[in-house]
Amino acid sequence: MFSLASLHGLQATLTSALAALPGMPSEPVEVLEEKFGQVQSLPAFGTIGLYSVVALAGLGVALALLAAKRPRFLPAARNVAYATSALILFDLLLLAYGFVSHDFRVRYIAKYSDRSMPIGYLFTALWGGQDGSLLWWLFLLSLYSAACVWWLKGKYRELQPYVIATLQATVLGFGVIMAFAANPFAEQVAGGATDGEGLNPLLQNIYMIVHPPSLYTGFVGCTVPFAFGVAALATGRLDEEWLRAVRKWMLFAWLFLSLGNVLGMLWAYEELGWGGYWAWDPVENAAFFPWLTASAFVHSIMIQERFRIVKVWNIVLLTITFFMTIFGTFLTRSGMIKSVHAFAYSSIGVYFTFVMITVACGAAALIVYRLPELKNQHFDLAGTKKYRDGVGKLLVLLLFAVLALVVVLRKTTPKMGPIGILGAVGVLAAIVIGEVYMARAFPRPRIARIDALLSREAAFVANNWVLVGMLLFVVVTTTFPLISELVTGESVTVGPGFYNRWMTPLGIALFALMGVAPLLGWRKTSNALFKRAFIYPLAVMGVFALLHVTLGKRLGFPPIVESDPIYPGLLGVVLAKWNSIVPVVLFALVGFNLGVLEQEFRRGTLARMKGQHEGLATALVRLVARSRRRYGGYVVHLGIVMMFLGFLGWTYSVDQEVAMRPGESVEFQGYTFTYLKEHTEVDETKRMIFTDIAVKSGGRDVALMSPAKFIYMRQKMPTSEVAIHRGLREDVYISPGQINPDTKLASFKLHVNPLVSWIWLGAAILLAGALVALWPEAALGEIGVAAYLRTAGATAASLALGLALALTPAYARADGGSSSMMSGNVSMRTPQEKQLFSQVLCMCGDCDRLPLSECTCGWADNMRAELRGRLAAGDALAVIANDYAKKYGVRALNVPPSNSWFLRSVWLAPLALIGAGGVFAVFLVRRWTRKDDGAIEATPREHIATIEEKDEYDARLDAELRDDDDRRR
Amino acid sequence: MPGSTPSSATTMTAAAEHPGTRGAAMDATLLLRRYAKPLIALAIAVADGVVIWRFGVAPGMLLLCAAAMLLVVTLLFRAVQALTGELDEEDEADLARVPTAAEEQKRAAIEALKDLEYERTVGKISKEDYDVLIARYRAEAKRLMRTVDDERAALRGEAEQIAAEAVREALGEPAEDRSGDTLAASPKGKTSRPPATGSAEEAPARVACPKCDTKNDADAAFCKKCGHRLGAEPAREEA
Repeated sequence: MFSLASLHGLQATLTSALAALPGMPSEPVEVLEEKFGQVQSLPAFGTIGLYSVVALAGLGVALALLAAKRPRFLPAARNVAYATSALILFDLLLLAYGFVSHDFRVRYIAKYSDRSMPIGYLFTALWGGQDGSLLWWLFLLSLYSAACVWWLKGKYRELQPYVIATLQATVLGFGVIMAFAANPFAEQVAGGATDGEGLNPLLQNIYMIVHPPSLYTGFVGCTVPFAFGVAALATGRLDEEWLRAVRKWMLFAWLFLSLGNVLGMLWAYEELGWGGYWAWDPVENAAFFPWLTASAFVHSIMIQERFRIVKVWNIVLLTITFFMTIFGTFLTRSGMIKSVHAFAYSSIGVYFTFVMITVACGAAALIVYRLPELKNQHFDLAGTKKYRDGVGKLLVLLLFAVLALVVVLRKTTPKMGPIGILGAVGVLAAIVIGEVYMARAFPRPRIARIDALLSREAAFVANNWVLVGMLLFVVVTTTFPLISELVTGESVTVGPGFYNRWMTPLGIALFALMGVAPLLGWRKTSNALFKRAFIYPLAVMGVFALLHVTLGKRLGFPPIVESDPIYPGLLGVVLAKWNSIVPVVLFALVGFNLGVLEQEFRRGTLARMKGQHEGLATALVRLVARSRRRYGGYVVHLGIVMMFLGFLGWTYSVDQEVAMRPGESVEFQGYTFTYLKEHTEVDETKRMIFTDIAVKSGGRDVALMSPAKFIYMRQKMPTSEVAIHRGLREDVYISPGQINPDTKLASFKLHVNPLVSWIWLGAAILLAGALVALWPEAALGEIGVAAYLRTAGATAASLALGLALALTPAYARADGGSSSMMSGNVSMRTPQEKQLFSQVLCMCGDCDRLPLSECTCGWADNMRAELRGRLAAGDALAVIANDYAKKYGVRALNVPPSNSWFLRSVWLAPLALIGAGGVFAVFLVRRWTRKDDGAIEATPREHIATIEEKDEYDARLDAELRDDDDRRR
Repeated sequence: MPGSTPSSATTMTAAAEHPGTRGAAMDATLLLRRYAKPLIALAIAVADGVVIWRFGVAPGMLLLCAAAMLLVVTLLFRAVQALTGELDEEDEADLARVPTAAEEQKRAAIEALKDLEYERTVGKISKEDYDVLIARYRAEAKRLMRTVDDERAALRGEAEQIAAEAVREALGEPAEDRSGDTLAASPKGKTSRPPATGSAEEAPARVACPKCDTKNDADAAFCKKCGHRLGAEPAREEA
């Protein structure tokens, strides 16, 4: 047997390799190393480890696939899956050992550490750079894989082999990428150095350390649901079984995606020093993609659970989510799209492309193959055979298309080329045409299982539509630099101004739907119930709107905030008008959502108090405990309401440039800022110049804030450390500028950012809600104390571990101070200047994503001076911006102009797709609602009459329902 | 320290190959086996703590590397054991029965009924709709319960047949010509299809090798340990 032989061979290899481990001491630097020595073969050993991961994962795939037919292979496959995880752990530990023992022969270690680094930083350097962070990714994947295999024990006997096979195949894919394109154990070409370069303290690396790992836990978590989806497709067991298995895994991943995104925002807020938290940077967008589809998925599976429809859509959503986790990584890793914190360009993109093609085509092929089952068709064998034969032909066609694509890609990468895009479109078109062709092989499904448009399922469809619409929008705009480069040869970047303007309506639509959906019942909502459900939330909404209109201005939150059009002409005016009323609309919707949530909890609790004669507290606790998913979901909604309130605050943010000498004060937004003094502190790595500012409000002391400049000795680069005074109403945020050592004149940028804290608060509530929904459903009484403790313990442990993994990187850097590349500051004197600077982007080459109004690099400073000169000379804004665009290309503009059809397509194309999707969604729901008696597939109506007679099964059913009650009480 | 890995792996293997003597020693072995994993993990943690405390972080990491490699080797060994069929009983429980599609659907119908009740109590659904839907889901739940019963009855019949055949085989009577594939795929009386309730208890008896006394699968042609021919079924051997 080949597997046995290879197992023995592998084991022999590993054992002999292990024997080489103690090695001979080389380069004795410290006593420790004299005693234990450096592992002479460490780089080679680590590389062999990586290759072994590839081999073992391949073996795991093979064994798992064999186990599908022969159950006896399953324990072997499970053990190999564990072994793969253990081997990845070994590789990670080996790299950690390399860091700790300062093995600078390894390129990665030399690049990201030096001898002076404290031990804690040596560990964070593990995922500090591209290669190491991929190993970290692989390690997280192996954790998930092991946890999933452990959890699968004795469960889902038929799905299990394919789940394990898919997980192992993913490990295999990433293993190959690492072994061939991102090997962290690769040796220095020039040989071992005596000391490493050290971890660069600047922005680039802050983000490498902080932002991605917190997201990885969420990203990687999407693999398990995907594996289940593949297993369901492969076995054809497409009923609710796999969905029930998957929903908690997906929720877990979703929780960490949310957390990762919020952490990213928090760090952007504290690190970047420009006062905001979300700049629509490609890396941020990449993290946003899977969040959108995962959110859509957790809603749409409820439709499938209830009505057994939209199976194809759910599988597709799941695939897109998984695909997006890879696509996002690819976007930021391949260097194809320039971003503030993109990793350096490497050949890794090619490998990612192959992985993505495999995922997309494999999933598409499986879905097409299983279409009869997915469409609820139970037609005769001949029909199925005819269909499958057709699918066979299609698969051959697809294979050719993929081969052609591969050839084209090989010819055109790294430039991809229009042909590559055409090839991809061709494959997709082939799939769609194939499906349409195949669909004729069997009769159209007759589904009439939903009774009204005004139903929760229709609301969920709308929710999916908006979420996927947002995804389309962000994907198109994020990849627009690539697309435009292919089409026109010039890469057009889309700045935050564009996103903010266009995404707001979508966000608001989503926010409104979030409130409406819980009010609607499944299937249909009668008029009386509709009124009963909506009256209260609408009243609350009215009160909120009224309060905002009457009191808003007095409290500093005016209901209408005028904004400048981003485009000349009608489109710009319409967008600007709409944007100006966003605050009051958003605030009213906050009221609506709060009303909905309060009503949901109130009605549920009251019903329990009346029905079960319980006290208020008991009723509330049991209500939540009984349907954790529903009320956990509502708590998540509450968190999102608070986050939207925080986003609303952004409209009211104000900032100002000031320059002060010690002892001087400025007034700003009702605060008095007094610059007290500067003082310098020094530690081993840097000189820190603190500027103490006393902040008072109405004569009352608010805070003593000390924004600072850090000057790192090694890198000789100054960084800015912002100071933030947080409050529920608003944050006071000071970003330091230059300090003139002779005149003592210091410049600062003062920000007052209202309501920002609500975002972080909302995120905490969201976390709590997700925990409620994730908590195991098993009850103490039913399964016994030991089993309950085990289940609860496993859930708690996995959540704790996930949180630790997600938060550790942030924690690891938090004590290092928050540094930022933004060493200078922005000075803008007139509104006119501000308007101009926000229209054009800094083109220095390092930070070309930031508009001049926010970029603080030296290049931006000079450019501002130049443009200021032109303004002073009396040139019009539009002319200056135009000249700027001529000089540096259209990509230098924050919002690409809308003066050609191609440039219009950046918003027109997503809008058209969203519109088409809307038409399709309406068509879909209408088809569901078409009255078609007798088409109730599972139990025709005439049967109901006959079965309605009482029989023994009624008694049993009642008993089961009662049991269920007791269990959940 | 890492050099000791292969030898300790061998010791572990040796222990696993002789899965304890029957009888009184059984309890102790079981107890040891149950707590072996946490104990080993604890021992490694303590050892690593000592190494880090006495010698520094680097040797500590090296020890952890060695432990991880030991884990890899052990797991691979277990995989090989699983392939050759010498696996601990504990892992064979893996192949336990799972709910069938009908059972899952019944579960979903019951959840839908519960949900409808809830929505009625909070007034999200009108009385008329509630009645219609409840009737619909009840009918479906009942239909599914009936299906489950039928499936179980069928499987029970199948299991009884397998058991009867096993008894006949054990008594040395000629075997009926049953589907050999099913048996070959599930030699321990467990079907790869949705398995029957109680089929596990009625598994065919194992055959002891006359030469070395190793227990072999009922349909084995040769002893898995010594290779001695187990002459029960010459017909199947040819195939």
